[in-house]
Amino acid sequence: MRLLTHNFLRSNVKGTENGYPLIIEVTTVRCEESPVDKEFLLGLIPKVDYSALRSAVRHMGPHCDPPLPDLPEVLPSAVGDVPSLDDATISILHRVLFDVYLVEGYLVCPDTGRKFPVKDGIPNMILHEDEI
Amino acid sequence: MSDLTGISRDSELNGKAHSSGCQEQASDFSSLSMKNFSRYGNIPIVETLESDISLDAKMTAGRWGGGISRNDEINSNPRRSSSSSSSSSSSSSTTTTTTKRMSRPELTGHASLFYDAREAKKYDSSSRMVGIQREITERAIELLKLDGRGTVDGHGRGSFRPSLVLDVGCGSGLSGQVLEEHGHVWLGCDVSRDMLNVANERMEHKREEAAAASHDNGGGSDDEDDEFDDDDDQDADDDPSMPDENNGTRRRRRPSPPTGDLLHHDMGTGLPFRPATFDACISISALQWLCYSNTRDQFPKKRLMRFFSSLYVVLRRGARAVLQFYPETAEHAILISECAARVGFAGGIVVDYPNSTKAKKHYLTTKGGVCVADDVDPRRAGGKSAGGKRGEKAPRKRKGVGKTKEWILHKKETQRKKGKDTRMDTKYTGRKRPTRF
Ligand SMILES: C[S@@+](CC[C@H](N)C(=O)[O-])C[C@H]1O[C@@H](n2cnc3c(N)ncnc32)[C@H](O)[C@@H]1O
Repeated sequence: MRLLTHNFLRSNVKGTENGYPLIIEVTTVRCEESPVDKEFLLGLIPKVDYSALRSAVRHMGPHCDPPLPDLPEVLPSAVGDVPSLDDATISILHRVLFDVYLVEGYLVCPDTGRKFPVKDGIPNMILHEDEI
Repeated sequence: MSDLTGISRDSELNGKAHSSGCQEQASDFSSLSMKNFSRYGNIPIVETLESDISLDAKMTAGRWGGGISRNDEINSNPRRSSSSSSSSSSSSSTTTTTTKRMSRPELTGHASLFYDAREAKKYDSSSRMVGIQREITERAIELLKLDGRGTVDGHGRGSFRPSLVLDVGCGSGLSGQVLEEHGHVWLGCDVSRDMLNVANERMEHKREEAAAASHDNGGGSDDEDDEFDDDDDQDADDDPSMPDENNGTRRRRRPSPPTGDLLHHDMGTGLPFRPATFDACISISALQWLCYSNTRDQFPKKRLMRFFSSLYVVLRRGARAVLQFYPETAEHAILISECAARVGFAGGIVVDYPNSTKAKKHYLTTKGGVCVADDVDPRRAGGKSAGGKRGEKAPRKRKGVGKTKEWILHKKETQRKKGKDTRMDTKYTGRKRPTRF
């Protein structure tokens, strides 16, 4: 699971208010490299919940090689129509959103504590009928 | 050549006291000389024939819900599709014939049990299946109309912009692969872990290939690189100011790592995402599963409603969903499209190869969130704004426009939900009564 996916994922188990963001419990992560699409990334930024991304990076960072740096507290000018970000920021955002994967671990619903296991990079978000 | 049955069917519907919105639509459609148009209940259907018009012409902007509007466009474009699969539509229509429609895996139990490890492998390695799913996906992407140039929100023509696409019931990732080829970033959900494992393997493989390629070519840029850089949809790397992570060399564009990600999830329990996340949604050959109840606590309608209401929420404003499915009966198609309409989706069903029992394909094509804020409540609006949108909640203001059967059924359903004593639905429900004067 990419952090991009994590950023959009929320728990809808019975009893949740927001179910967001899911807490990440890391067992293993994987990092790889993919080409940066600047345009796409800029279009994506307004949709990304930055503080959720930031805390996800803090959870995942130490497990990566090399460790991920903390993201800046606020994005330079992420608000407004066209976020104008410098290339260094774009490249780090791309890296954390697209190139860092949670392979094994858990996603935990912040409201209910329901744990969603992640195996082989795939989160299991299956709910039983009585959990809805 | 002009086939008038569609029109007459339609006006017949109007005769049965349908909303003024429908009348407006009917007149819109009757401007056509060639078409096959009908309805499931209140849901507009557009049938395409191989000799039929391009969908771009059919679903013209602004006229969603089977909005065929201009004749000239239609006639200038004799073929079903411009670019993708139909260069040999007639032959492909015959090769597409042996889909799994004859056997209904949906009747055998839960999808994750049917699509087990063995079936998943079989499915993914059947070249016939791969071909069919590819063709359907190409068509679905065409119907999404975000194919790069001129995306939904009208972003610059000519400049490709990938979309974030949700693939519901992504299975072994055949549909996702096509999305990938179109340059989109996708997220696939499926209830069968075995199908997802096959998808995962493919992505793993792609990853390795991409990694190997970037190693082999780590030495520097050459002609080949330039060739790739010529691709106009890869501007990011052309930017010389971009920091290079690969020791000062340009990263290779091909083969590229996968753009998809996977999630194990049952769509019938509602999609687990934040609002306004996706630019588009496709679903290929999966939605019909929701029409069946595989365990005692599964209720098709409830599951469909959960799915559609969550889909409506997770799609961006104005984003489209194209959901190809195999309805076993007309009731299933009605059920599906009415659930979609009830949560607020505008749209209709596009039927390709309507005259072939086997190659026939239904695409529920919907658009969500268009006018959520500024729309008039269609129940109260008279006329235009309600037309073709939430037809089933059609206004009943005008004299002579009675309560439609759908309206009555819906009302009874609501009453029942509230626990009120309600008469059974019969074939007499909402039947036309003699007029009193
Ligand atoms: C015929 S396959 C299509 C797979 C893929 N879209 C393709 O084009 O190859 C149908 C898929 O729908 C999935 N499916 C069935 N019911 C589902 C549900 N309730 N939620 C999510 N996926 C479901 C099945 O597991 C199966 O992988």
